[in-house]
Amino acid sequence: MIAELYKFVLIFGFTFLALQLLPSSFRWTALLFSSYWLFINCDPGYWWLVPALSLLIYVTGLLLAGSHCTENQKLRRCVFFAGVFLTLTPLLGFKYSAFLAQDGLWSARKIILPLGISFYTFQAVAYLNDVYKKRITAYRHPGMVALYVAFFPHLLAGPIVRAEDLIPQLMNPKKVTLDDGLSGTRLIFFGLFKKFAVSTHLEIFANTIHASPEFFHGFPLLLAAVLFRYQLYFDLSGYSDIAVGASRIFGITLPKNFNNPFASTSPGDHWRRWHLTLVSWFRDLVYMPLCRLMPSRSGIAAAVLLTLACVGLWHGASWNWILFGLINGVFLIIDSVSKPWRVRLVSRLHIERYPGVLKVFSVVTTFILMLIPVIAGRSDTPARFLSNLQSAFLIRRDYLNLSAFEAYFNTGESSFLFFSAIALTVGVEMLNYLLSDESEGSLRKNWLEYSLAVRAPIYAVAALLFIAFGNMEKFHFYYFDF
Amino acid sequence: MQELVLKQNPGLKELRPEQRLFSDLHYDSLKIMELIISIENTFGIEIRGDDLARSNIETLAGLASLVEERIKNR
Repeated sequence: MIAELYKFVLIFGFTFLALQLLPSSFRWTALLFSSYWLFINCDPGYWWLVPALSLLIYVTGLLLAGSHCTENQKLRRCVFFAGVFLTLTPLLGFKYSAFLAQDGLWSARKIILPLGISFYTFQAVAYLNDVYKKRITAYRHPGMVALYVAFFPHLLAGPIVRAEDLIPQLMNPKKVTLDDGLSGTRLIFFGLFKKFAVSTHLEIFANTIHASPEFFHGFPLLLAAVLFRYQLYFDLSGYSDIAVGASRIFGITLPKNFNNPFASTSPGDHWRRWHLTLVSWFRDLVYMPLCRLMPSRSGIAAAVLLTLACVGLWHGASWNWILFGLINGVFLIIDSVSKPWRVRLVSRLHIERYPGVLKVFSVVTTFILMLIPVIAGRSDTPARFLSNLQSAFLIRRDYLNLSAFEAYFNTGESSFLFFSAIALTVGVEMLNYLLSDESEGSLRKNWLEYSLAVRAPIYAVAALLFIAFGNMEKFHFYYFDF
Repeated sequence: MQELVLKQNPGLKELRPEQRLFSDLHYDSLKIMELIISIENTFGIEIRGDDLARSNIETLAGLASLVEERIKNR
């Protein structure tokens, strides 16, 4: 791990220095050089996929913008679909070939995938779509298209950024201010903290339960689902924070990927807060085209289900993850169609007089509901899913099943680390809330107004917590394999 | 656009620009997509995913100005 961290710090430092020394019109060369340097180091077997895909979308983009295609719409459509198909081929081949070749796998097999393949593939497809829809003109500068696909801070796990938002910034990174540098550094640290001091510990517990659910029942199963949700959240949002922070230090602004998702008041609200850039991608490139194909009410409901099934497939090439997506889709449809009678019910019971109570109730019920698809995603057979669901939610004798915790701690896992990880989860969530739009970002707005005497001890405590709880044995994020 | 909304809601007699799609006209997210697609087909425009932010489609007036803008940029 330490060697990988040194590599990253070395490349990051080199890029920062190069950006300061190079004239603005050459800065992109440093970013591209560093991106390939890092990627060749991280994924020596498959690094060539990134330049190959870049070349493919560059040529397809130029063809789409060329006179042959502009004069012949049929040809233009063919070129577009051929380009999209070829761009998706490596992803489909690596990730879904085993699934498609057999009758279908219930539980995902561990296949070694090129790092971050779905993220850079999705960016490449978005580029082709935006050129085809004439939202952008095809870029004639091959270096810019290559850098758009390969830009290293977000290459491996997003955020997924559209060409119209990223390429103009890459062409001319803005001058970095001290504030950008400091806020970027804070974000990087916050991201590292979420991942290595919190998510890693939650992962150990969730994996232990999910690896042998036959030994556990009742509350431990419910807790494993809760911790798995937080593990995913801290893992991906941690990486996103690092990507956004590092880019900010280079003078590039990336969009935020999460908006306090555990404060969602409905399944629909959840998907407006969770993994925003991926959700936008699926909305624009899967959901809306499907709605145009099936414009009736039932067709649009089918489009919701199909889109969420694709989101599930993205999580893993197996039926359990498709079920995860379908359950989410059903929740979204029920959420949508039941809204009018829910509003009437609230009004009839006069609960609207207590908006705080209503909000807490909505947040808690949404949180519990969203555990159901997670349990499906982590169950290795349909029968196991049903029994896990029943066991997790049906309160009966020995529901708490404390002996399971004893068994878990007997495996050598430290109970101190486990409870600390839960305490840190609560702490980071509270901090997230204070920094979010929900609380009008009061802490975020005022943070720099506090004197250094207030801020420095807080940074010191955070650093100490990181040293105490940071588990950096492996520098690997969950979504690198997606 | 008025015609499209009235066609979707046969019970309604008149529409006012300040009417809210979700709270006054009881639209849900499926019904709003139905409306969006019929608007796209009628006016030959394409509404982008980003356009569907709640603030843009909160009221009939908001939706109308979004459609106008998309027609202008066609």
